Amino acid sequence: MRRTRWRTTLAVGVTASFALVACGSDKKTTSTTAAVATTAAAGVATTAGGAATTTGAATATTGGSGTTAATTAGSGSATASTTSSKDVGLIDGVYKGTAGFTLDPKDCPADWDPKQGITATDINLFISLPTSGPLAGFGLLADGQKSYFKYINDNGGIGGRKINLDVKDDGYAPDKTKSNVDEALGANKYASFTTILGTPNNLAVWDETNDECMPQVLNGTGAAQWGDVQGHPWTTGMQLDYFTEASLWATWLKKEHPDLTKVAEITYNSDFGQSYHTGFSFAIKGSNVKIIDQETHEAAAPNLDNQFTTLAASGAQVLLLETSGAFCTQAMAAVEKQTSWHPLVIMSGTCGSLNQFFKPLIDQGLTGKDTYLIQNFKDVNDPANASDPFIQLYKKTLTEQGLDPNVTTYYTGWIFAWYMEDILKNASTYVGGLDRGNIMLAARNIHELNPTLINGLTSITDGTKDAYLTEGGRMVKYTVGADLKALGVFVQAGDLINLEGKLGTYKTVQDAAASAGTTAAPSTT
Amino acid sequence: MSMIKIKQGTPAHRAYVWGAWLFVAFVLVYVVFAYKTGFAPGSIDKPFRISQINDVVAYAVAILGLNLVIGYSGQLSLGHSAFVGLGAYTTIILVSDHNWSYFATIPVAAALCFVIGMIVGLPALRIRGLYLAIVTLSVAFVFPTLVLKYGSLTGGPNGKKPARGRAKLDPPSWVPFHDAGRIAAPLWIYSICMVIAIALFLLARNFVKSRPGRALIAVRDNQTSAAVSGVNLPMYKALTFGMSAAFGGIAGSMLMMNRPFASDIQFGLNLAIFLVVGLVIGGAGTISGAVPGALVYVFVPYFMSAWTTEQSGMPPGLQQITKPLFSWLSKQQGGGSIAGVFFGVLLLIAVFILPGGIIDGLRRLRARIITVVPNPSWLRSRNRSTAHTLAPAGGIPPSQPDLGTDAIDASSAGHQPSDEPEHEISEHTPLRTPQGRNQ
Repeated sequence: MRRTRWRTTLAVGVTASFALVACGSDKKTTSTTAAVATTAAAGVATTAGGAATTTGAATATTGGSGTTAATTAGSGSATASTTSSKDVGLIDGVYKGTAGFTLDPKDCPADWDPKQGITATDINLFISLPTSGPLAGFGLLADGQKSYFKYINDNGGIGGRKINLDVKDDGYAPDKTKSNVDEALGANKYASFTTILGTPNNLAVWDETNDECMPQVLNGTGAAQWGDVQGHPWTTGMQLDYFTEASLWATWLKKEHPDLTKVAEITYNSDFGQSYHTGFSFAIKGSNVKIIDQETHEAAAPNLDNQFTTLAASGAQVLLLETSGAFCTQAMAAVEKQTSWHPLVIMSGTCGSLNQFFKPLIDQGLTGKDTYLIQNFKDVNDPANASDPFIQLYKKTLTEQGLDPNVTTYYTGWIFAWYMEDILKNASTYVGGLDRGNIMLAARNIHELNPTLINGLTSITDGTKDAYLTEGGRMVKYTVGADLKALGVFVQAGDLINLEGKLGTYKTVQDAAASAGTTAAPSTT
Repeated sequence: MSMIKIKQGTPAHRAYVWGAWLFVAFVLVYVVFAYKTGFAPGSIDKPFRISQINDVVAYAVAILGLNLVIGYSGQLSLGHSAFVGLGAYTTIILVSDHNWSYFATIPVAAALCFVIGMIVGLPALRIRGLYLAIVTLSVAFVFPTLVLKYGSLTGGPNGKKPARGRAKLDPPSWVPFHDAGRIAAPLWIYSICMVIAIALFLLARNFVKSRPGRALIAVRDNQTSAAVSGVNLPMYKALTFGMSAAFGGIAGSMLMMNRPFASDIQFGLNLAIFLVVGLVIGGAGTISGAVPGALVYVFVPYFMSAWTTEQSGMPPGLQQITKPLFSWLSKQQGGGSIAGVFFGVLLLIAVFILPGGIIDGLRRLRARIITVVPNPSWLRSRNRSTAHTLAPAGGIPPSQPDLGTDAIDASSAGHQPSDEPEHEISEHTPLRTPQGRNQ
């Protein structure tokens, strides 16, 4: 008996100390959580190929901000909708959107309720993303969204309605996402889903949300599939997609370096990597830029040595790093070690985090300098943005709410939440008022200058014509100072490039993939 | 000690045994009709809750299979997630790409996993204990990589699912609940999975109570003496691995029936570890332990994570106690990830308080209320009638396993009575320590 009691005491002691450690360490991790988020992005890309998301990409970067277009702070924005809201909405029993986009409630389940989740006082939204596991850092995205919605609710809400966001953890496992979505669909209390994180996670549920006529808007992933207006009208994305990112590379290259025409690629052998390849091939069609070599690698590749031996022999002038995670760092190191081959290097924006991908190079005596990549969100930690009214509002609001404004994932949450608020606000003005059909019409009828984006970038969706929200960015170049042990900064390398409306819908991507000899991921299977 | 004493062979004893089983059967059947009656504890009239229960049934089968290897034959296998995944992918690929029906894929998944399981079990013929654990863990580790490698077959990182609107498991019209709306399909899957699971549980029980089962336990307790007694070690080890893998494969098929989507992450190391956790929490070396193990695996993380984000769903008392903690956490960055810590703490507490698993704890609890008093004359008469099927020493009648050694044990050694004879074996496997009931 005595031994048993001793053991019980020990058990209680051990568990209590575990709980203490867990709670106590919460505070200490504050400063490192941004890094967690990007570590997460890297981890995903390494292990899951096409699963990479760019959510964490707009992180700790510093660089010049040269654009001048002015935007207003807060929830208001500069441009007006091109279509009168009187022509949009529930007209003659059918939801009529812009550019021929329609939704027929008859295609929805018999018990579909357009006003579900929308009461006189509340609007209920649902998000599934990892708040546990190795990618738990992304959970802060939901906290960031809640923070923005709280700001909106404190300032009158959407026509007096409060926005509520319910969060479910899926640990980035698509089957858990599916289970969460099943539960949320069955709960009959949500008006819309927002910002479900991860490509496989969204793919796992989008058939279901479309069958159930549940808006699944602003997906937290950069896959091009979310532009599938025909097959999946109830699903939209938000981020710059990988296809367009590669098109931006090509546009920038042709303008800034017309003499560099021989291009080589290192491609992650997945949807993710192939998206870049088809995007670039699509954009250089008809120009004198040629892809002279493409080396692919698998998720499980130990390193890229073989690929670099072949690439160096090709003598290409430009090298595209269409990969993610640790492969970015490996590739930058391999380029820098080359003695006779010095291509211009353009890298995926998913590897934009200095701490995550550039810092490891310093330990190897390397820098990763002169690597180019695309940015499209404002960086909250960039001193050049300190006077930006929206950034000031963001910092003030988060400080008031007791959150750390330097955690960039909160800001990413604000970016998504800003669009969601815009959608809800516009949907309220349509014929029939705020309901789930009109939310979807509004998600496909956005004409804004989002103040969270780099000044001057437009955010436009237009029914069946333009299904992609953000299609622009600017090229930045990683530049190091005299001290090679210190992290460098990103400096602007060219004007803002805006391909707004160029991509259209997912059909463009599929056609481009067909002509490039690759296969786009199927949309409607 | 206990409040009620029941003598074996009396009508009260029969009522007790039959009553318990009838109650279990009633609960299992009641789940199907709960949506109609209006009495639905735990919201079992909701389609989502039914689909969670279906998950429990599937994972229970997987844990049961794992128990055959770890709990009964004493070989530490950590690669079970790969077999669940193999079964799941077999089903989902045949259904999505080859238009098979779900039911037809189950035997294929089972057979495939049986063969692969035997092959994976081959190292077990030569190595034991932690070394075997490492070898099998590598299987769990490799499986997701293989899924990604053969992306054209498995769907790669984007997962595999049937084409939109296809391969739905809707109940046929003769089923009484076929017109129950959204809950009809989950209930139909529940019915199918339950029938399969009951069959597998009976199979496993009969297996371990029969000659091969006793041979396995002999292997677990002392390989050398088992071999000396004429147990064919290689055959039994390989057979157990194969059987357990087949159980895992069927569990995978059931998971796919319930939620037709397979991804590499789902069947990774996480699942491998948690199957073992479920096994230990439920009760290693018991048949019924698989059920509480699966319940813990499905529901504890679910509620933990739900409560950290939304406290209103908590039971009333708990809600008031934890309120200060959660209101403090809600202001902390990443406070939602505390769910994992709670789960870990709960597991630790469980291991300390219930070293023999939940089933063992339940039995100890029951022993304080009801003791089945042995009746030697009744036992002798029973043993005589079934003598030809019995092992010489144990005297465990296969038809009435709930009683046998229980009684002998209670009378001779004065231990707390236990239902299952295998608990009396004192040899330590890596997962069965002597602490708990023997002290």
